[in-house]
Amino acid sequence: MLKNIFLKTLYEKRWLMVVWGVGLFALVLATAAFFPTFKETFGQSLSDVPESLRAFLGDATAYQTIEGFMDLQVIAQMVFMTIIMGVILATGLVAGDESDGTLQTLLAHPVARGRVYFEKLLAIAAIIGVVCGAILVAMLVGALLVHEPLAVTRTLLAVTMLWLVTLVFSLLGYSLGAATGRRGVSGAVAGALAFVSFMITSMAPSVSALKTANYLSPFNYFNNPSVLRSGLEVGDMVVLVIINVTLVIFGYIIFVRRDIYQR
Amino acid sequence: MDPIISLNKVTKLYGNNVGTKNVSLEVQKGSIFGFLGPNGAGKTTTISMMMNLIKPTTGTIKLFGLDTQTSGLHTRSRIGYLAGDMALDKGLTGWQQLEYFGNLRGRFDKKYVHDLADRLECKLNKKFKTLSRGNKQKVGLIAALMHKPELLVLDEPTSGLDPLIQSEFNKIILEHKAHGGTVFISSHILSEVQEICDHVAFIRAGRIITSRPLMEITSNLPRQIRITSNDKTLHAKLKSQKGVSEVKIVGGVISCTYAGHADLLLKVLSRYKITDISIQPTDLETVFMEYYHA
Repeated sequence: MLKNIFLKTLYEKRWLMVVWGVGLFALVLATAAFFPTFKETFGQSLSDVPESLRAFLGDATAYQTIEGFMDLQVIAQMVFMTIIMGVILATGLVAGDESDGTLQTLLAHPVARGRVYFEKLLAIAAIIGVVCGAILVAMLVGALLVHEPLAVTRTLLAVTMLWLVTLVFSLLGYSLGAATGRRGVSGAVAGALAFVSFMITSMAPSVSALKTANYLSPFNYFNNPSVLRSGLEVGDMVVLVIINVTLVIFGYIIFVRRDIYQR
Repeated sequence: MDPIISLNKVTKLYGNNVGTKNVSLEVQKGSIFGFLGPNGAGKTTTISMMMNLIKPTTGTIKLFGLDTQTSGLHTRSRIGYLAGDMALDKGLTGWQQLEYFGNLRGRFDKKYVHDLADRLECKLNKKFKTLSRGNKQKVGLIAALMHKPELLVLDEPTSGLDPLIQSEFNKIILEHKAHGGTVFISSHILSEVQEICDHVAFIRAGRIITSRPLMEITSNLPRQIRITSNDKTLHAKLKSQKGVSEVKIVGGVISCTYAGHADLLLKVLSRYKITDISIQPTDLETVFMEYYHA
C-alpha cells in the first residue's frame, strides 16, 4: 500500500473512507426503509405546503415513487454530507500536509510537484468515489428491501452527478489549498461557496434576481432537474466536468511555481 | 573540479524582509561544510532553496553542477535531506515511512536500514506520533542516509539526540566523508559541528560573514594559555612577545592570551624552564562571538 503517493494516501485515509462509507451506507439504507411510510402519509401532507417552500421540500407527488423519494431524501440530502467530507479530506492533503511539515519532507525526495498534486487529487476522487459508491449500493439495496426496485443506470448516473458536484467543492478546497498552503482559508471558502451556491439554486425559481447568478452556481448543474426522475442532462454533466478540470489546472499552475511554507 | 554545491549571489526576499542577501558559497566534494548562525539568520531559507522548496529572488544555485530550478528532480535523487524539525506521517510506523520513501526513490535496502537503526538505537515498529523528538529525528536521519546519497544536507540534525547517539551520528557522518560523500550541515550549536567540519561559513541576518576552512579560523584566534614556571624572565618576555596579551602572574602561574601560530610561541617557550603548560582550545563559540561582535 505504500508503493506510491496515491496508494499511500488511500492507506492514510482508510479510516475516513471506511467510517464515511459505512456511515452513509447505513444512513441511506435506514432512509430507504421509511419509503412505504412516506408514500402513504408524508406525500399527502406536503400537498398542503405553500408553493414557496416546495422549492426546498420538493413536490408532494415525488414521494409517491421510489425515484422521487430517493431523489429528495438521498441524493439531495447526501450531497451535504459528501461535500463536508470531501472538503475536509481535500484541504488536508496539500495545505494540511504543508502546515504539519510532511509535504516539505515529501518534496525533498525526487518526486515532481505535479506528481504529488495529481496523485493526491486522484486519491481524493477515489475516496469520494468509494463513499458515493456506498451510497449507490445502499440506494439499490434499500429499494429492493422495500420491494420498489430502482433503475440501475439512472441511479448510477444520479450518483455520478453527486460525485461530480462533490468533487467541485472538494477540488475548490484542494486547489485553493495547493495554491495558498492555507488549509483553514481554503476549507472556509469552499464551504461558504457550497452554501451560497445551494442557496442561489434553491431560491432562483422564486427569486428572479437570482436567475442570472444561478448560471454560475455549480448546484444549478447538479440534479436539476432530478436525474432519477427525469434522466441525465448531459450538458449539466459536461459543465461540472469543465468546472472540475478548471479548478485542477488552476491549483496545479500555482502549486508547481510557488514557495512551500517553511515550518 | 566543479563544486558539489555552488551558490552564486543568492538573495531571497519576503516582501521587504530579507531571507538571504547575496549568499555565495562553494562546497567541494568529500568535505563537511558547517553552516552556522543563530536562529533566524537564514540557514533554513538557504537550505530550502537548495532543496527547491522555495525559489531564490535572484541568484543561482547549482548542485552537482546542475541548476536546481531546472534539474531539481535529478539533484534531489542524489541528496539525503534532514529538516530541523522532521515531520513524518503520524499514522505510519518508522519502518512504513522508510519503506514509502524507499519506494519513491525506487530502491529500499532493508538490511542497510536495519543496520542504521541498530547503530542509532532506533525502534522502527512504533507509530511516528508516539515517538519522542529524539526518536523522530533518528527516523529522519535514517531516511536521509538509507539510499547512500552523494550529498547529505542536514538542517540542525542533532537536535533532540542524546550525547551517545550524537557521537554515533558523528561517526556515521565521518564514514560518509571517508567514502567520498559530501555533507552540508547547519547548526546553531557550534560545539557539535566543530568536531566534524572541515570548512565553516557564518551567516548573520541573511548575509555570509565569513566562509573559511575551520583550521584557518581557529588557528589565528586567541587561546588561553597557563604556564607554570619559576623563571622570572619569562613573564617579561611574554609581555613583549607579538600576539601575546593580558599577561598576568599569580604565584608561579602565568596566564595570558595568545593569537597566532602555535609554533612561534612554542619556540620562545622552549628556551625557558617550564614545569607545566595548558592551552585551552579555541572553540567555535568564541569565533562566533568574535565575528558577531565585529
